[in-house]
Amino acid sequence: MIGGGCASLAAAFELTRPELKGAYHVTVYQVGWRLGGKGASGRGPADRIEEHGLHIWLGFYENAFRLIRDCYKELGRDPEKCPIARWDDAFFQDSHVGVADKSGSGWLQWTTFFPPVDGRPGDPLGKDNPFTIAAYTKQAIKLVQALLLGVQTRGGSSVNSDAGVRDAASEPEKIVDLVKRALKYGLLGTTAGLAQAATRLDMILDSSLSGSARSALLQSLREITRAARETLERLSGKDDETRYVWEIIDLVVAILTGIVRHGIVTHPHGLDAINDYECREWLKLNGASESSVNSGFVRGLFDLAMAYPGGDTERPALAAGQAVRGALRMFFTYRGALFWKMRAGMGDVVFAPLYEVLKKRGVSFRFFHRLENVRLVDPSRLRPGERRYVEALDFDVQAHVKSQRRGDEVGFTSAVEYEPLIDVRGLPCWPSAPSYEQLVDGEQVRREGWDFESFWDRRKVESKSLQVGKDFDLVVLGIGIGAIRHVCRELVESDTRWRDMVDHVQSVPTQAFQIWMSESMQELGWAGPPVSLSAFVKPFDTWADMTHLGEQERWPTQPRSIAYFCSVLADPPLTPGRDDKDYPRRRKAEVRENAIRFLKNDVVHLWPRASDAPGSFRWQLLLAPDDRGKADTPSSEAVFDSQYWTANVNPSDRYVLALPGSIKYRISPLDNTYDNLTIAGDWTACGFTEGCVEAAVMSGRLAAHALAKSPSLAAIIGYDHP
Amino acid sequence: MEPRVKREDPERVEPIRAWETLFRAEEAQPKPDVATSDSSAKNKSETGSWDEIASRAVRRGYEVIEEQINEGRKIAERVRGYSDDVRKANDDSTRLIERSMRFYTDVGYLWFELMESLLRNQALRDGLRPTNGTNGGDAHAKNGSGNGASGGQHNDVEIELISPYPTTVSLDLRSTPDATLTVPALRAADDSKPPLADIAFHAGAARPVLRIKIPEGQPADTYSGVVVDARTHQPRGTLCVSVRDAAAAT
Repeated sequence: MIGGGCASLAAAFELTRPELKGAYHVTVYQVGWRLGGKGASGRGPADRIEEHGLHIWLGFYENAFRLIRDCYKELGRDPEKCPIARWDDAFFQDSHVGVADKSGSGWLQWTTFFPPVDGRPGDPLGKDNPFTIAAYTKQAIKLVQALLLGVQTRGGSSVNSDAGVRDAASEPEKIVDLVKRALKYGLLGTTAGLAQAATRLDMILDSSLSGSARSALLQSLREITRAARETLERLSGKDDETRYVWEIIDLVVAILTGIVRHGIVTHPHGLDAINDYECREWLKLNGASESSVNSGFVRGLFDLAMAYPGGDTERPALAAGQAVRGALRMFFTYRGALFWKMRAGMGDVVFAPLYEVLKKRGVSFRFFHRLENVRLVDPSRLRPGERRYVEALDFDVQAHVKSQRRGDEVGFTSAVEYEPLIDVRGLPCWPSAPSYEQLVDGEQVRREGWDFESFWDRRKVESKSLQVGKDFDLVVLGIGIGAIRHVCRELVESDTRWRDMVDHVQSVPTQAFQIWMSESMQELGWAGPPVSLSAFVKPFDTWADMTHLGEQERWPTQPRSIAYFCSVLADPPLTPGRDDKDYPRRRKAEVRENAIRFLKNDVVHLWPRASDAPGSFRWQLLLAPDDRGKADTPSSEAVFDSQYWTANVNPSDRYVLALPGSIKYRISPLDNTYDNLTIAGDWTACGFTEGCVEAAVMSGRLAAHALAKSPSLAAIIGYDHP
Repeated sequence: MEPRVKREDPERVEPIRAWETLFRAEEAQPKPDVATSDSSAKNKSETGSWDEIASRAVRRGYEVIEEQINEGRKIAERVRGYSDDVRKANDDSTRLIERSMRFYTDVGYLWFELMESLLRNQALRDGLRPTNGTNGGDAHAKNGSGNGASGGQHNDVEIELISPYPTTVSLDLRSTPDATLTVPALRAADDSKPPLADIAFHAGAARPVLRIKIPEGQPADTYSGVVVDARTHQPRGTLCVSVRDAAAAT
């Protein structure tokens, strides 16, 4: 396994399941000191959690939750000794989703409560199976209810649908309000119109039907859309709440129209048939209004997918088919809650348990190994009919572990392994820096500031080549798409499919910052529940209240709130050369400036009391890890330096995009062009072609299937899906 | 020298994107455990017959409608309770109750209808056929009301239409009308048009009679609504009446 992210570790987990009776010996080669890839996290000063970005798992991540549930089960941690012993200690449900929307010169925040759904992600698909038309329709009703009745503006008096019903007995006014709201939207005539369209939908689904029938249905849908748009325009600017709901209705009708117009229901490629369209253009093509496609709801979905090529937020782009599939999966197949948050860092709750289980199973880990080249066999040496294959893997070894002799280990020897985890109050965690004391010349390495995770820091202690047949048989290449061009030069040069893939499947750098504050969100003026909110002002369009993490950290003064922000980061006009060692530092400084500007000018829309004058932020709110009390906290922006921020610019850290016209260039982990190589990562053709944990795990499971025919394709949930 | 280890060619390299995947039987979904071979073909064989699938889907569809109506009823009861206890019941609150019930019924009806439309589609039925011949011979759709999904069969009801305009009636009952049925007013998409209210079921000599009277001056449009069991208030089907302009018809 090359790379220790979700995809590789999922593949390793599958290949070493006890049911396979030890058929596969797995070695994971990892650059630097920690596993996790884009999901890696570390413990910094005050044991605070430092992430690559904001990680929230969605309730439809069936494969990812199954993996992590199996992992915790096998791990068998003692709840008396470990604060996160079971998977449901590690994750909790978060049903509040926020979207920010421009209104006049200010911002409105919509918070929607998505009702809990039966079951939990990763449960066996039995009676709660979300992958049926009936379940989709049932969930659609809940969605309608959530959107029509559950929407809540900041400072508004309305409540979510569940809470509304719960509170009804004691507060009858709320129920009257609830009914009035239902009628408000019901009386707009949409349901009757949609019902009429739906009764005719079967006509168009019949492939033998004439073109006139198709026209008739499209005409009907167009009329509904026009009516919706007229109503929308009439209401626009007068009633934000009605406008918000109408925009969603307008989008739903546009999707229905598009599905009919493009014959998607009977198309063998399902939603992939429209992947060459840009999502918003496709929606407009099918009648959605300009206002709807620019609504907070749509922008939120784009933010979630980081759908800004080159990091240019003025140029959003998302493949229409994957966008619709993503929305269907997100809203219609979630179990438990729409969002699931982690109780500690992603490294702590996901990668540390995976590491421990895999170690117990006998998997070897070679940290400080940076892949430099994947070498193919010379075609002239192939026997007749033989396919090309990977002959060697060239690594730079970044450090030696003490007691391990230079050039001593390869494969399954008894070489001393680096011990990567630290104990934080009983919880095995990854540190934010390597354990230098385990490394040969570790103190010198620390003093010289070797950055093991930087693509631009090429320092090494040794070069090493692994040979096929001697050091490995099969390769799972599980690095990020951004790195493929650099380490698979021969593949990219000689194989047009690989060249097309790296040319078309683009990725984008990301930026994130985390702040720890001395006042609660309520004290800062946030009136709603703890929320994950998107579509906010750039450059940090996404915010999540992560205050719950404070209990896992060790602060001298306990933070009363913790906030994570993230978004894309623009690419520079010219790609920096590999000798530009200062590049990561410059980009990190840029993120610092972005964050400070954002806190001074924009965060006031979320937290009105975080500012005491226009264009200012109360810097004394920020807690430093060595703070002993608020009184000593400096009040200048320099205090921001005590917080955490990151510029994820390494090629392998870049976030993969689902751009229109690009999906068809992805290569599947099942592809067998090179018969000892498979690929794994959320950038592959893994069924769900959007960057996320679920896609990564699906690809890892596909890679395992490619090697071992296990798990079965049918067991990879959601792989076969329109 | 030992031969080099090679991967075997996979059975396929792409996901199945056809919508039939959403029609797989719930029970047929695989457990996430390790399997030693690709069981996708096997999975198909477990899809079940068309009748079974349709029957399950219809059952779920009813659950959907019931859930909607129950939601509406819960709210209506609470409003009514509030009105009775705290205030005198008045026209406004009664109207609220009626409309909220209607809203929920409409939404439930909409989704059920959508689902049934999908199930009636021949192309999708074809999609349910086994691709490898592993599913025996009974995956073809059957017409008629045996297991209730194909709809459109209402030979058990006589329709009596009184209309000054060319009119088409489409009645879609999901079960034999042994229950006492009633039809709330049918509405057009355009709310400004008056609903069709003069519609009722009557006992006939051999079978029930659905009497529909279109009044003079009724605007041309399609009016639709749900057929309800008068006793349980459960939906039993849909009724769609298309009134055309007399001039246009000639």
